[in-house]
Amino acid sequence: MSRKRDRHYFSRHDAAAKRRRPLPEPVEEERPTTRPALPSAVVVMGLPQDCSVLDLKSRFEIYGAISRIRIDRDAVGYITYRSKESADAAIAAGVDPSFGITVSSKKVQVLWATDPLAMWREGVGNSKDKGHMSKLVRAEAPLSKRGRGNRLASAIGNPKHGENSSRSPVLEVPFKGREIRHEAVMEESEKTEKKDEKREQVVWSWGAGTEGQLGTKIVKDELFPQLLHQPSLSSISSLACGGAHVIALTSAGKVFSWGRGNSGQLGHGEVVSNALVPKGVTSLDGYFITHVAAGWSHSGFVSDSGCVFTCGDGTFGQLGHGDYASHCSPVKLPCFGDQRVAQVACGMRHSLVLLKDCVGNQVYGFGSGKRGQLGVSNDKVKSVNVPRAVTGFDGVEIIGIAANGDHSAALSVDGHVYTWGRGFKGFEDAPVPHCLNSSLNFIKVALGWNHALAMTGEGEVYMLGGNHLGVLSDLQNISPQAMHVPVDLREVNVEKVPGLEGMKITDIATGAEHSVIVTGKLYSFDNGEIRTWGWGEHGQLGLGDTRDQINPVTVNLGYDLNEAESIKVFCGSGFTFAVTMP
Amino acid sequence: MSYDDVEIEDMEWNEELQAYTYPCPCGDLFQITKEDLKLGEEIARCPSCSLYITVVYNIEDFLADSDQNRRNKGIQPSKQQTVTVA
Repeated sequence: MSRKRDRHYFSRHDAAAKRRRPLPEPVEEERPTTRPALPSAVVVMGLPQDCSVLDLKSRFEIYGAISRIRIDRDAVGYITYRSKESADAAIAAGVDPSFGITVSSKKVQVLWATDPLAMWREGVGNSKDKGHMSKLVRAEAPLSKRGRGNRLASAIGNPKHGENSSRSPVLEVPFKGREIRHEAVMEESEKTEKKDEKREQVVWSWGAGTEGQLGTKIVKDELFPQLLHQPSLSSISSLACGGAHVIALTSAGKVFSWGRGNSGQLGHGEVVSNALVPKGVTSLDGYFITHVAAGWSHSGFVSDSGCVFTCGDGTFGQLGHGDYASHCSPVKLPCFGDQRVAQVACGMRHSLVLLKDCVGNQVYGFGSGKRGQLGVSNDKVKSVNVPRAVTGFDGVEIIGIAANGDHSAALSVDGHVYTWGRGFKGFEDAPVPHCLNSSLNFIKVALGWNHALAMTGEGEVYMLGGNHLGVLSDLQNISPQAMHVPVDLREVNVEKVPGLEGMKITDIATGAEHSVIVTGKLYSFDNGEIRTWGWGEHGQLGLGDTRDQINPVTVNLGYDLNEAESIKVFCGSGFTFAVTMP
Repeated sequence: MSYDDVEIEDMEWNEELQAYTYPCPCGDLFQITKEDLKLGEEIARCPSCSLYITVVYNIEDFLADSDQNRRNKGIQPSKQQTVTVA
């Protein structure tokens, strides 16, 4: 049964027509600009500038179940309740002379959507240009009807308070028999929903945002996760986050990019200081891209045919084209002949390439080699501008590569991690790959500028560069119990991340000086909690402040995953993205 | 606490900022001007955050030469090149 649930797209669709029509793919570019206001729709005016959709939702769902909610660029919120009674309650609370409604201690005005003043606002907001922009800034949060997420959030917001409607999903009158029946109906509806509904992909970003890298269309740091909903990104399969730019790869093999573009790293064919909204890398349209990478100010792309392309800053030879020129459109590397490329990785000033199905030289490096990050020779290599084979992988099958800062890493098929380049705290630079002395079976490795995370097949996470802890705060101020004991004397440089006992880690990511993991309890589907630690000055930990953390702390996304979904995390230097995957 | 020690030759001359720069982990750039270097200043700061780096350089290189001379000899930090429009 593929028919999707009906949804109220508040404000843009004729409700009756909508109800009969199966929902097409979640591409919502063209919408009628006029529509009759629903009788249960209200408009909230005078919101604080930093009010998020989730803030608004948690404040207003105490009056009843919300079916649709959004905030426009001009700080006007639009809320459609499931019942007219809930909307009545919100309006009544808003005009209460002694209290009124406040959001983040700012008093707001609540009007019927049919109110002439609100209609006028709506008209303004719906002008072609503004309407489009508002979507990108604070997009609509599609709320599933009685979904788990909604219920969870409702519980936080105490839905019983101020709720008079007997038709409300949460009953407060002591009518036991009816209550039980009601619960049963809810469960039934939930089941149906889980089976039928393919939820839209949800994307959050937080942290340093002054180059537009968060995709919020606002150039400022965000301390809390910001919900993005961008039609062009409706099927992200992977993100690559660099110094201040992001490359998004869709499941259709298309590439979008945004953020800082002053070196051509966005690949848009022009040099722009920054791009605030995702824009397609159209010169790659003839290829199906399967892998993307973002360095400090350069980018790499791999096609399904095994071609590799680079663009951006080439000052150190990191584009690999045999010169030190920069390019603002992806340029194909000709030098691998008929050997096919599987992956590309971009660090601060160097790049790595992994070939597929090949024996012998599998990994290549180019760009700056001052700290040994190219791994091509025991001798000092200042820089190379054409790919050179990384040494030391004879008889080893490499399945993954990583680069960040002046570090390089590779993962072998038998679960070993190799690192080279700048030494982690207390260790010398390594000009050729060194196998991490560990019996653990690693399946993923992520590099920062002074630390690395490695995840095992059993869902455990280990940190390299242990003394640094991915924390910039003064080490003297860190309490002794926070300094971790090495798991094994042979593994003095590898430490298990504490506080995760009983958790199975499903994904890891590292920024320059922060770490992000996705946790789930063992033996349970209840996964998808994000935890962060490290440097927090720009809000990159998503905890609502700018403090550093030395242990993993849970980020509140205000979202409940359904069983089919998982979360992937991605980090740029000072920012973080989280994306739900179906 | 200095985030890192960076040699001047690893810094890039940024024409727009008129400063030597080096990537900061926040995404912005550590910056130090020639005037600062001539005064013996060795801290390059990031305008966006609290971090700073210690610049390792020889002050004589900056005192002895005029700007023009230094471009042709002595220390040669990597210069940002113009981006080729492909």
